[in-house]
Amino acid sequence: MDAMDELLYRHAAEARDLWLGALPPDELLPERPVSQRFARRMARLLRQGRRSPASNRALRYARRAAAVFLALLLGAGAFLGAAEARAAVLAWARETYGSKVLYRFTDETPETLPRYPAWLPEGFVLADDFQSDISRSLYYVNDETGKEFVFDYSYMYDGTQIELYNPNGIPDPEKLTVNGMEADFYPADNFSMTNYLIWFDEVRNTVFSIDSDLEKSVILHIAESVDLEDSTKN
Amino acid sequence: MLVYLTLIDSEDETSKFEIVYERYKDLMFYVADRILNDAEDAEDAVHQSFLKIIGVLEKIEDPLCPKTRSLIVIITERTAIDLNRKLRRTLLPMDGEPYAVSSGAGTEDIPVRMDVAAAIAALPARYREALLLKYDCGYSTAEIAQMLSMTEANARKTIQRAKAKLKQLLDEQEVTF
Repeated sequence: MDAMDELLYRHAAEARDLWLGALPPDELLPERPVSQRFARRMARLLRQGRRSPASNRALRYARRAAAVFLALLLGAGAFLGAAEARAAVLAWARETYGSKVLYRFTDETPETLPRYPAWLPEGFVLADDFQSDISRSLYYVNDETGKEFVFDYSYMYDGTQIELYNPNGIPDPEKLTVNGMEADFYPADNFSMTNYLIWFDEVRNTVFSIDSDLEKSVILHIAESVDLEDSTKN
Repeated sequence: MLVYLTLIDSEDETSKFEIVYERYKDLMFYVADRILNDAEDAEDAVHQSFLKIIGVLEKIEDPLCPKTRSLIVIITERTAIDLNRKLRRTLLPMDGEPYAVSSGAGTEDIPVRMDVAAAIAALPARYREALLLKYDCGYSTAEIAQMLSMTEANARKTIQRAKAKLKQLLDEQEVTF
């Protein structure tokens, strides 16, 4: 380390305070309205985050933890029937904390199979497809109307959680079913701008969601068509 | 609804992004608006900045500490300057941007002082950003390159040039060290 390095280490914090001190304090910053486009793009940031190196490292960690837990489960299976063992550990839970809701998952062996909506509203095409080890996001758009929806599915590995955040507070969801599976529907508000449907396949340990400015009935129709077959991709 | 999927160890980690979002979005818009002078462009810059922030979220230990505030402003400033250059095709000197464009905080607002900290704060934006990330925040050259959207070799060169520029400023001001 030379003299300049030492000088910089000694004075960098003071320089930072001096530089940031020229900015207005937070309480005096103007509250800035944002466009719907910006709000929607912010709502999609999760798809970027999923592909981050951090999530991949976390996945490896969780899989190691899952391997240990699975060994314990197999031990327990000697005393329990398969169905009982499954029921004993199958779990997802919804927790509310003011402006956010957490869906936590504590299962071990999701079936990592590709899923697609077999029915699309007229004019919709697949425009983008993001995939990671733990999830996939399919983005569909109707270029004529500008309507869009994002169909997501994620594997319910132990330690996975889905967090919904809304600074206006999260209302209680409307309880629905999708092909007999439990589902929660959150209507759009002035922050989210889009309707959000989330449902849980407890047999294959997969959680699905649709985020869209389409009407609830249309979203439900899409959800009910989700299948293993790639019937609409092309 | 802001939705995110996480696979994490603690609840603290999950709330980091929303703390950053809530705490700094107005500040980020203030910085971006000041550089870009266009509401739509500023939204693009802030959105791109959040994408970068997600990429370095694990490196943020305390979302509310001054170092994090500095990191957020640096990322936003750099993103807005780069976008401004791209959109306006502004020709800028190779060793950094002119002061008037470069500072989201506005170097003109920094009190005139003749010391080392003031000289660092008054450096062209790219140089100041690189030095603060390295010597204040403690990031590696590779991490700085990621945050400033440049190659690692470029980040290393930028830090070298920033130190040379700082030495020149201190010599001109006859500040001894």
